[in-house]
Amino acid sequence: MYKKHETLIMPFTIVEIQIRNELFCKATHKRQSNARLFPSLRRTHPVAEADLLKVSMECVFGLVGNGFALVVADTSAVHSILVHKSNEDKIMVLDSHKLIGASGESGDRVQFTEYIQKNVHLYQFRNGIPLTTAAAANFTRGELATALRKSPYFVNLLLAGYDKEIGPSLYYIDYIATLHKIEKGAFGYGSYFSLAMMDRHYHPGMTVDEAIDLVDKCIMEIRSRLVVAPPNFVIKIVDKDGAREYAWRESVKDVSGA
Amino acid sequence: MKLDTSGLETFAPFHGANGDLCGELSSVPSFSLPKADNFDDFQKKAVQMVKPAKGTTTLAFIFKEGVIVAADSRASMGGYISSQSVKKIIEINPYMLGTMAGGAADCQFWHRNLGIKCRLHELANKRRISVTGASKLLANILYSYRGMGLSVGTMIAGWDETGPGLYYVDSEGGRLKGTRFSVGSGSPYAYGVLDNGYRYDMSVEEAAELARRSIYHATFRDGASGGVASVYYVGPNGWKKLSGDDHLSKKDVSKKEKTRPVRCIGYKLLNHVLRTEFLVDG
Repeated sequence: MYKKHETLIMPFTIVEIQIRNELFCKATHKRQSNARLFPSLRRTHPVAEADLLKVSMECVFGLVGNGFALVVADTSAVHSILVHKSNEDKIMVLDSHKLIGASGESGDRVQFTEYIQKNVHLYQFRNGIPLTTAAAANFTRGELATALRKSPYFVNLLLAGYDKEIGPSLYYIDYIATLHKIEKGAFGYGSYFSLAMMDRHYHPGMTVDEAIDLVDKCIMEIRSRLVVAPPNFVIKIVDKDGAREYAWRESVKDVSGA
Repeated sequence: MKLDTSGLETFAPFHGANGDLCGELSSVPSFSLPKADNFDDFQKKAVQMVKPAKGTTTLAFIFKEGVIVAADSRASMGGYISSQSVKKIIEINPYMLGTMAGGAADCQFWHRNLGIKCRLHELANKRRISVTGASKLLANILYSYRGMGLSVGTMIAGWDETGPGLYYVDSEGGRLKGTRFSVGSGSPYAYGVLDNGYRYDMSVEEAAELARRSIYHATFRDGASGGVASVYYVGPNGWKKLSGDDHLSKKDVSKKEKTRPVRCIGYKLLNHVLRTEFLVDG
């Protein structure tokens, strides 16, 4: 890009170049993102890294049952071969009736989910009514899509919610801003196992007990077949009574406490 | 060739702050680019040259009496040991400590910066900043520079109104709350000893000894860690240095080592430049 730019401005005098530079900047200031002006100082474009980051070692999955939706996530904070923490809660309670399970780079994960949470709250403060689950999912997707061509967030999300008129719902949103309404879904290496388990054993209108049984089956399969299986999981549920933590599935006592 | 950075300004980009517009056509924010055919490639190499500086063992843990923070004291530049007496535990204020792993310059600069922000918070709010707040300040700064080559792996430990606090913060923007962390290339070894010997209800002496032993075993196995273990304890009345390079430097480190200027990991780039210039001169 720089070489091209250089040859492009070669025929001009110094002053002309300066003016040109200013005009160029003025024109590009609004339209072009920092990533465009600064390709080297930004990260590689997501499409180039897609293959690298498509599958993370994390396991996040969820499903919709009869009158409820649940999200399960592993709770490991991993840096290369080290597990820094094994009770990191990756499922955020967005508002009273919404859950967002996230996987991806730890910085992006926390920053992005907090950003979404604050904006969902802001909407509620301003308008006196909360966003529906579908609206929150579309808002989240929009934010990811806007960021995608600037400095993308590497986060994959499962958004579960309960609306009075609609009932429970689950949305799949990945870091390239794909949005799907789903009954069951998963991210990460664990998805290979949990998706298969859910394809086999899931049926619409599952009770909480049936769903938790299925979740435990998925966790057992991940723990027994996945090389880099995380030890601990957290399960959160959202239904007419609100979003809440349901249970933890721990096979290792936390290494860092707190 | 200069890289025009005015597009990055959030405000109207082309006016000098002083309003001296005439003849200020060239005042567009910019910096010169190195003469390289492929800037991306150049930058990758430059970052690689500074980056593999995680030759460190640092650890911190919360226990009954407060927080213990410990670190080794070796600075290495690849295979070369540039100093055996580096202060890797940075005193942010009398109640808060930061540890240094990764680029020394990055760590030192941003911890100093954090110290300023914490002091300003104190002056504005008439109370000390919480460890939670301070660590989040740092994490947000580092997050805003993500992907731009910073290399920081740090723990923020301290005592605030809620008691002892410990956070892990890194340059990828990650921030973890915990009671037991170790960072750096020697951390797996340190974890081994630390996890095994850790009890919540230790005395300060026992905890300090555990920290010292963890660092010692890490320096034994990890070539990039070494020197002496400095150990700090943070309690309700602020931090106290329990042991460190000061008293050991008298015994173990030669006079020459003591008088030699401390060169830290982040100066690798600078040293490289100096060396190159020396070669040119000679």
